[in-house]
Amino acid sequence: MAHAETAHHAEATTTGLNHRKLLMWIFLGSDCMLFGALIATYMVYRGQSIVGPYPVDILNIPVTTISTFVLLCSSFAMVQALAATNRNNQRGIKIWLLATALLGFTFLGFQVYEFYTFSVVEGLFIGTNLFGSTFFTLTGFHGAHVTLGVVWLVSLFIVAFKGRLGPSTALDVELAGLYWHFVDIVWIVIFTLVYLIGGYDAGPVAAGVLTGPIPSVLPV
Amino acid sequence: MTTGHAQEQVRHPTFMQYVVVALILFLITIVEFYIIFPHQRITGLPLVVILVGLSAIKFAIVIFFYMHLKFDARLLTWIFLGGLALAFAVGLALLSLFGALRTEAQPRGFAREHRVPYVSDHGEDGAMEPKPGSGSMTGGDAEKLAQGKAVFTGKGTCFACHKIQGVSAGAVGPELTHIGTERAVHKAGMSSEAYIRESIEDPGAFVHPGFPPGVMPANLKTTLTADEFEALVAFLVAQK
Amino acid sequence: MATTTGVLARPTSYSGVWSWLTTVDHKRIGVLYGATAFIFLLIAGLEAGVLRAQLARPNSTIVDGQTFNAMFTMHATTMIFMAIMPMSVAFFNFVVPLAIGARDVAFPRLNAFSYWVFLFGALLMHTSFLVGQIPDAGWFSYANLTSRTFSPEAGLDFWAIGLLVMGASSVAGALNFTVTIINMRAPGMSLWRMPVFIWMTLLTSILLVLAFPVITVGLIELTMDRNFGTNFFNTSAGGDPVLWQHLFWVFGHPEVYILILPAMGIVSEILPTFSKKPLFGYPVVIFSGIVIAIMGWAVWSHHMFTVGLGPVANSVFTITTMLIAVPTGVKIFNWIGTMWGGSLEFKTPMLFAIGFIALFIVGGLSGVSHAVSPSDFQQQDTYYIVAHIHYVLFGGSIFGIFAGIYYWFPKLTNRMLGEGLGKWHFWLMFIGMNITFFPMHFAGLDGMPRRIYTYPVGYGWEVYNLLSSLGYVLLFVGFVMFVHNIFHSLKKGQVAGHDPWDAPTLEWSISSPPPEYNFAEIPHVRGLDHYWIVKREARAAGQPVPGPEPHAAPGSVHMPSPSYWPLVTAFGVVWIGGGMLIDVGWDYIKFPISFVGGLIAFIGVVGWANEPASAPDAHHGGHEAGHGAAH
Repeated sequence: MAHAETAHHAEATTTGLNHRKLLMWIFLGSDCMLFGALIATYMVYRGQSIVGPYPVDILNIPVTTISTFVLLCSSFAMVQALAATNRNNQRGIKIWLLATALLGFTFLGFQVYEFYTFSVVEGLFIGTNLFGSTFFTLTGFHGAHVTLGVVWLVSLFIVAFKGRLGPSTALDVELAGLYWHFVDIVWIVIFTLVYLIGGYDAGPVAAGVLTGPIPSVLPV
Repeated sequence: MTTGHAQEQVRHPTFMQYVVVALILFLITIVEFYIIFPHQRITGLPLVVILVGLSAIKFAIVIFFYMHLKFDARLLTWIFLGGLALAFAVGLALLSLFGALRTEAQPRGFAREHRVPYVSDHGEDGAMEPKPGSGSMTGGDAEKLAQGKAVFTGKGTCFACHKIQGVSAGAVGPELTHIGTERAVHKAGMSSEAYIRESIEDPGAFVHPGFPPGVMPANLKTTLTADEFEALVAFLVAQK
Repeated sequence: MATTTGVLARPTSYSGVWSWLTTVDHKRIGVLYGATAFIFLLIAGLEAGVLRAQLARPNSTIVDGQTFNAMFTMHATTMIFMAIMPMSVAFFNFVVPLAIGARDVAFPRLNAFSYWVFLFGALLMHTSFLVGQIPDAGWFSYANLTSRTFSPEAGLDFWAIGLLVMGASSVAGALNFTVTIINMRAPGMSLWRMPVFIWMTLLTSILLVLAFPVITVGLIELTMDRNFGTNFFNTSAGGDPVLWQHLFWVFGHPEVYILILPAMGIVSEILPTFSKKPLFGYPVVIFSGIVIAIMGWAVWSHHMFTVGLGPVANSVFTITTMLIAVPTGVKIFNWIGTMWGGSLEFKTPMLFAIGFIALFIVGGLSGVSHAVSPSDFQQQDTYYIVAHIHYVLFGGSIFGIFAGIYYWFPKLTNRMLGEGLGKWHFWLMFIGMNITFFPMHFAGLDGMPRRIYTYPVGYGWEVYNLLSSLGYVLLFVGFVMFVHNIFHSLKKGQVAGHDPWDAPTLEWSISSPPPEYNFAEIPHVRGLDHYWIVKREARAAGQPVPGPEPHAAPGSVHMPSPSYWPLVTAFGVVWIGGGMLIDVGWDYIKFPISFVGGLIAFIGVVGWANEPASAPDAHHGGHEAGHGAAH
């Protein structure tokens, strides 16, 4: 009888929700705080760099808009992968998982290109100014999340290739999807704040440089 | 693996619905891209409000459709929105505490006093010439002095301890207002430039009488590029 | 899926060292947490001894300023992150599944992973002692004292990376307990029938999950400033050290409640048991806890009144801080109301619980006095603050934890802790605590700054400091008695039986120590104070009070199997951080070494994901099928 109790334990949770799914959502709520703090750091230091390049000097909004499209497309591919898993469409699972991973990889390619252009070509390094420090940290953390997501998707693709994904294991795909879409919405926020709203932040014009003694108490 | 999530067989949108959702997301992104160009009429606060609103709509579409919160247990929505709301509130509070809750980037205190213009390595046409290093020097004494001053008041951190009349007010180390002419007092038989170089490279080699040794960091040169170091020396030599 | 096994053969032993290294049993992990935290509590106590020895007399030269800085930094860091928090987690582990009628936590292997990451992270931070570069910037390590320019040694790297690692452990643990409490309650245990300790565990876990990411960001920014030349807190590039203070205290204030809420939960279990009447105003106590957990996010800048945030910010945070005192006060009245008219039994757990209330009131009142920002200008960074935090954290959290140890020790071991030694322990602690910390109020108001390593004669601080140092001796003696009591009682303590206190909650309805599967049959919870209801009805019906349920036949209850992978994964994760700390004079060696750690962690995760939660001899998966969050 204790036996029977355990057999149904996996489904019979207090709320009826799967443990892992619940865990994933709480984790995502927690990750909101992580990106909230990183984004707050970026916004607090907006306009506080004392040397260039300033955002307007180097941000390439058209290119980033394209990479944003790529990430949105990957989210679409992800929901299709989940739908295929629920329908047990083995071919669909593989195609859409691979598409998601490749689109994520393309987004990372855009980011590598962006980092390369900013640093080697334009001279904005992580220690150049506050913009460099906050920008590379924020987008770097997002990129690390995307990288982890790509690794996860590729792992799932391997599992799918062995034919082990289907309606009974749809949760495995669903959890990866939740994580992946979360990475997407974080990018929506970063794109809006850093590129669309902050993209025209500029330094002083050459003629009007302000100089003067440092006040004895730094105004905060 | 757990089988038969009978209670989780929630209604999922169809393929076409997902396509429509994706198209809406694309459309919003295109609108955003279009309205931010400076020749557009919307600027300032209305622009920011519109952009934040649009991205909030995108955000909501993704979490409610792609992450199917709309079709899932209400508890999950509350959990996620709780974390999101807290992150939003803490972020807003931080921005207000720093006086950074504004639509345009606005330099405060230190940045207002110390910002210098950016001189790009390549022309205004945006043609990119790969050039390693971060130096924005293109030659010319005035520019070199300006860069040296920027290093002094910025990356080099010199200003924090040294006073130069009209530039900085630090009081930890010796005043450098006349460092370009005073070297005889400090160390006989050395050019002012050589003396300045030595003092930065090896602060312990000669310590100004009346100041304790070991206060000036010995690794300053390593924090600067060669360009910046040269500019800093030139700037200090010019303090006469 | 279930037929896939890892490259390693599944561990099978249930005794010996390997069984402890691979255990996924929440009770054993609780013991591991408790024992580890206890050792760190001793270390932190000895560090405090160095501080008190140095400050006992003016112009003392027992240690130099540098050693003193290292000692107070590590005393506070160890107490908070390696003693009080894991001690609370030990109670979460041992008590939560028992008290909600579950057989284990939701993710047993994740639970083991949390412990190993915590242990390795704590050891990582303490290797700073071996290389002689001990963290020395205080427990909140204000920028820009922490920049490479002012702290060139590696101590603060050990501090930052050690805390990052332990933060990962805390978040993993907190996620686990949140899911466990939301999802694994026995039938009939609605939210409003959960014991207060479970409620406080839930709130603490939620706070942990939301607060740690913020300090993670702060610590990463600090680490990058120190190692990669970023400018986050570099004033000469426009960086603002005040941002560190904000990030630290946005985390730091909820952290204060993370430290005290579990103790409040423990006390709320003990007072009804020894007053023989239900908790007074149960829903109000819960609501107060919820309000504290929410409002705890809106008060952080009261640590920063003297920074110069301006009158508006200071006023706002003054008001919110005064408001948060209200739910705390409500709880205190509820505890007093619980004792009022009860038939009180002054056993050791009860003494510690009452001591908690008394000392917490003192700490709470001094807290309100620096909620008033003008008054805080007088108190900031003085010994008055030191007195306050020790009344709430030592008089509060530590007393609560001791109460809990005396209360649940019989359940864990089937032995009572000695009452005589226990009473000695309590009174030495209570008197020693007041002699140590009460004079600090006066020293602080007379202007003695905190963190000074010595002081001259003539400021009138000599008597206060001597008293504090003498009080430390009493605390030390009390502590030794406690350790003796533990070891003595383990062997010779009176046999406890399953319900020595006539307690109201589920864990007392099963045998002591509980069998591995906890409940042979998952109980149906009848109401708040379930076991009291059962016992009362039995007495009313004239039947004998039901004893512990009989043990199930061996093998009939299927439990998660032990696993190597949490240990392997934890080792890899901590190696990532450890690699960053290796200093062989060539920076680029760090990254390959860290990468190897990442590789080990990845192998661990793959092995973990491919290993069913339960060994394949049974076909029903446990409640953890695969593992999503590890990715």
